[in-house]
Amino acid sequence: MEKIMRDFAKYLGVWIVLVATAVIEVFFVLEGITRNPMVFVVAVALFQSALIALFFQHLREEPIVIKGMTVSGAILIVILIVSAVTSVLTCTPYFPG
Amino acid sequence: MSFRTWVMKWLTTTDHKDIGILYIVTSIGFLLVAGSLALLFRVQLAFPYSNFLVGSEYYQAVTVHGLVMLLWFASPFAIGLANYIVPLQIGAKDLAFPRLNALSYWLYLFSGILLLLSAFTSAGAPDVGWTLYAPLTARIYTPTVGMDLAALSIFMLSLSITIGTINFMVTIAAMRAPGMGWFKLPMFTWSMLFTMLLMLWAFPPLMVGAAVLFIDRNLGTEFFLNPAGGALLWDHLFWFFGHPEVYILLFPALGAMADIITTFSRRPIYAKKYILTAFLIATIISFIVWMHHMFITGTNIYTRLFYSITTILISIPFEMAVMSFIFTLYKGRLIYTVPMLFAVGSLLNFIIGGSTGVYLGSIAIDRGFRGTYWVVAHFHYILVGTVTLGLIAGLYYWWPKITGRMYSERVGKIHFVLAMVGVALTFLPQFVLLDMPRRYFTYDVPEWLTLNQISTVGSFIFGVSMLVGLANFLLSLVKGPPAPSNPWNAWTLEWFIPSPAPKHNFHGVPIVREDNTVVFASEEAIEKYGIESIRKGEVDIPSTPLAGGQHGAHASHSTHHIATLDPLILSTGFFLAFAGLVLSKPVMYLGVIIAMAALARWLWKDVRNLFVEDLPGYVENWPFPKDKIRSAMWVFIASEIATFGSIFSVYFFIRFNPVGKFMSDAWPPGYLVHDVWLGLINTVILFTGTLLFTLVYLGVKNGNEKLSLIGLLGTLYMAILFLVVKYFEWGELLAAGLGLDAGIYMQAYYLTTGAHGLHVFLGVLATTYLLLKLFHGTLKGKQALSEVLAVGIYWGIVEMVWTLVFPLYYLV
Amino acid sequence: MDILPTQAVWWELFLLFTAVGIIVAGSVTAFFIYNLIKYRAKGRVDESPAEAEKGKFRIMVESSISGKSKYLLFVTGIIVFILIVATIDETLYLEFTPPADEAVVIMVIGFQFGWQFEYSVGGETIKTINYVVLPTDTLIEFKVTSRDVFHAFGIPEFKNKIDAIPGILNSMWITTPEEPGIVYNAYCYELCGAGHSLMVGKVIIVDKEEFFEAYNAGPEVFGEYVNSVISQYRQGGALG
Repeated sequence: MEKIMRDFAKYLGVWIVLVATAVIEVFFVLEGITRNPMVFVVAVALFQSALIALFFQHLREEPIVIKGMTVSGAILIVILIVSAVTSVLTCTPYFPG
Repeated sequence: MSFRTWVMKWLTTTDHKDIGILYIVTSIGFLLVAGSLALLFRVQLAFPYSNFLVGSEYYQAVTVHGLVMLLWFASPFAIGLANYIVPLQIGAKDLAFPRLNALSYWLYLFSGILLLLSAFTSAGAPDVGWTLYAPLTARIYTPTVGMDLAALSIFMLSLSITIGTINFMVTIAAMRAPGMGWFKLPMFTWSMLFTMLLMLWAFPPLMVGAAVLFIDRNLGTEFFLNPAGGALLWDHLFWFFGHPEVYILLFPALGAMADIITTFSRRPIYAKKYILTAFLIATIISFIVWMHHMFITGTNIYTRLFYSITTILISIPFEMAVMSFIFTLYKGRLIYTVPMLFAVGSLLNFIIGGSTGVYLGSIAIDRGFRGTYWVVAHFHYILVGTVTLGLIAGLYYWWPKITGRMYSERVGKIHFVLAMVGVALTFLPQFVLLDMPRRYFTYDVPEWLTLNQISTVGSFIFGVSMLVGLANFLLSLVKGPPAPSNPWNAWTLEWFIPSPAPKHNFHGVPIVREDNTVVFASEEAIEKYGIESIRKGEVDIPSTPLAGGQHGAHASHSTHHIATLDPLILSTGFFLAFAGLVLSKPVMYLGVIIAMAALARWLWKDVRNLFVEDLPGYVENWPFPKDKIRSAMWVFIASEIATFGSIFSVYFFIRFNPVGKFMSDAWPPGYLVHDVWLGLINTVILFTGTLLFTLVYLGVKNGNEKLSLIGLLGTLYMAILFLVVKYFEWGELLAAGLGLDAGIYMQAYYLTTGAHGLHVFLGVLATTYLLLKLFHGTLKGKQALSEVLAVGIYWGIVEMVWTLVFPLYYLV
Repeated sequence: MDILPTQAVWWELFLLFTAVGIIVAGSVTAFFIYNLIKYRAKGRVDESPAEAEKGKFRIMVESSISGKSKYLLFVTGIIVFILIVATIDETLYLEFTPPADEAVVIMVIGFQFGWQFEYSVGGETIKTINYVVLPTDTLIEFKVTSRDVFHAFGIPEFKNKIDAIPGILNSMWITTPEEPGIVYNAYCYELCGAGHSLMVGKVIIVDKEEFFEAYNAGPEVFGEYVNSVISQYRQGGALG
């Protein structure tokens, strides 16, 4: 039971960090502290996702290929978003017709 | 076997061999449908001023031909061959999840029927081209129900493909025979692995696209209709799927060709590692070439140049593969059987189709070629000349193994000659028609007439060749001589067992020893000597794989071949629900009820642990965990990343698209629209739910049922609370007039949170399932732990997605 | 006018690709077919590992790689590099409308099912449907968009085309030939509905001096002039 509690305490710690970052995120954006809220929230989301992946999903116990797959999936999502954004940021302007 | 048991056998089978045959037969059915349509419009083009097939009907034929050929013939045909062959090649008893395999098949069949059903609706099938370009697909331009059915059929097919992908990935990764290391896998299996990798990430955007299209058409949103780049949004989603799709079709054919060329040139494949590297590079690059389908959309020129460069570069890996094939022939002893003829024929076509495709990688040249018959000729040379002929080569090659009968070599050679002549006559003239626009049913340029007529003649020759082939196969079934176990003296595992493959594939466990010889060890031998010493060749054990009369000798594996109607009923439910959604509401409710009942029946069997069957302890599974369910969940997560990636790219596209500058101005910051605190509460609820789920993990791991119960109830409570909060939130927004008609930012909000909410709901189902297992007393042991871990991983991804959804919609 | 026409650029690049293609694919195919003939099995081939070693089954794994095939990769790399450089060069040329002393800007709006052309003359817009009259030997810039669905505007002879997308204004340029009296077809290159095949515009080339005379005389004169050229063509008469 003690071992279980010790394990659970670890997850609880992660939970506290997650909730705290979410609250801080809301506070920072609503108070206008962040200079670029979009970049800020994406960064926070990445941090939170990394925490979740590392602790709640026991990624550390998984073999390297699983990690690789997760990472390549993440790279893919970055490619998707980056190329959607860049290719789109550079379109010809809207033509009202 | 009476007729009734024969029918029941096919309806309830979960044997990979039976399902492979079902896939092959069904896909050939779709080939005949789509091929006949092609002949119809070839007739129209031979007589341009006739009224044989014009207007909407012509385009219906074109659209159904394209969709069916690509999605319901070529891919499933390859999957059918793979279903039969891949487990045999890797020394597995079956695919990892036989019931899911059956589900894949039935979903595929019914999705095809759903598409063809559209042809019988009042306004007919969709007539918008297989690329379904927006905004032509919008309800104001195409009001037909056929279009809705097509969107749903694509969605349903994507489900089937995703399930199949997970199944194959786990099978190849974790179910290989002992000693069957990665580099000992035959080329066909390798090529299927790359195909699955491509499918895993290519189909989610299509699935999202089809779903959004359906929502657009029926709920009044305007993702693809909005004038600020909606058309381009569809282009991006579609071609992100569309280009990898080409390699999804191509890889299996190349893999089959590689195996065939190896066998019939009596030489091992040349530079296998080069080919594999080439395939890997092509797989990666194929995800960053899609904009070559959009070279003249006016998108930023430097972005397009990047895609132009990647497109031209992708010719290198394929050139590597082709050269390896040719070097395999070099100094070989080539035996020209029918499969070999088809393989070298399709290799020849691949050189033509491939090199004419390099032109299209150049933006400047594409300005001339976009939308012309050059493009048609190029991709048909690949899809017909290479893919179809390559897969037919595969069918001829494995036919003796699948049916246990030989076919007529003479008729096969006639088939080959007619097919090659047909392809050349049909598509070579189309290269010359490099100015003629695609999808014109009439033209008034006299120079185009003769070329089109030659092409039509060629297409009929090709059609006849297919009938000759079909006759050959049918004759072989009736009176072909029985096939020996290894008619080609081939060197892969599937040929070391009798033809047709016996019910349990291998008598004994196939073990690949270090000197590449294979022994079939009995369970007793394994127990006596241990896998390692057999694999190292330290002991010589007797091996009699071909001895007959041993069917069912290994009763311990009989759980592999579960006969169940669940997949069929579940797919029927889906089919009725989807068809009813468009055609008739009562049918829809009936379908939903059937699907839910089938799902409950299915899961109830699992709650009672009826089919618990983990991997045997001796499979080759490096580097994956020895745990099918957890591996499957990881593969599913990978596809989920692509799904949500697509949904988020919709968000970023709409919000930051300067084409719609006015639109991003019209997108208010989230905190002005949404209740931030309600969102934050939901965030905390979701985080807490996942935290509580770790109790389940700890409970099952340590055998503490009370802890598991607390964890499960807590997670369930939190997840349902999340949905309830969401429900009230939506209600409030709707009451405040912020419905789907309030603008694209609300539409995107409902789409994203709706998709996320659906995932929370699925999580609720999965958690309930675990709870039922707990009550039933089956939530213990290794199996249960891996299920708990899988559900935990799932909750993790649901949570991760929310960490993006919350700030992107509620805060900024 | 000393602007290199779009079709000349296109054919140049096309021939380069074709030459490279014939050399590479041709030699590969030749080697391929040579192998097919040279190494065909003579007589019966019945030796097999399965039969050679009774009771043993051998899977075949891989053959050795000869070092020479690496050079092949190197050669391909160089060829592909040449193609990429040529592509970038020509693409950038086609992408930006070159500066010219006289240029005519024409608005092209695709609709189901036809093309609407708009000239801007003296502050007024002259519209024509499916017919457009262009002067000889002049740089023409088309501003292309769509009123409803996705179309693509292209004139095959000039080897240039551009998508007509609702809400997006794209541009494309061509240079007209020196001889008047030629009539080109402008096609739609993207399936846009049941009447897609009927979406054929006519591009009529008229004498430059005549054209600009009318053009400079104000919108009314120009409108009449354009209409007269079109009706003359439709009646099958010879073009002035």
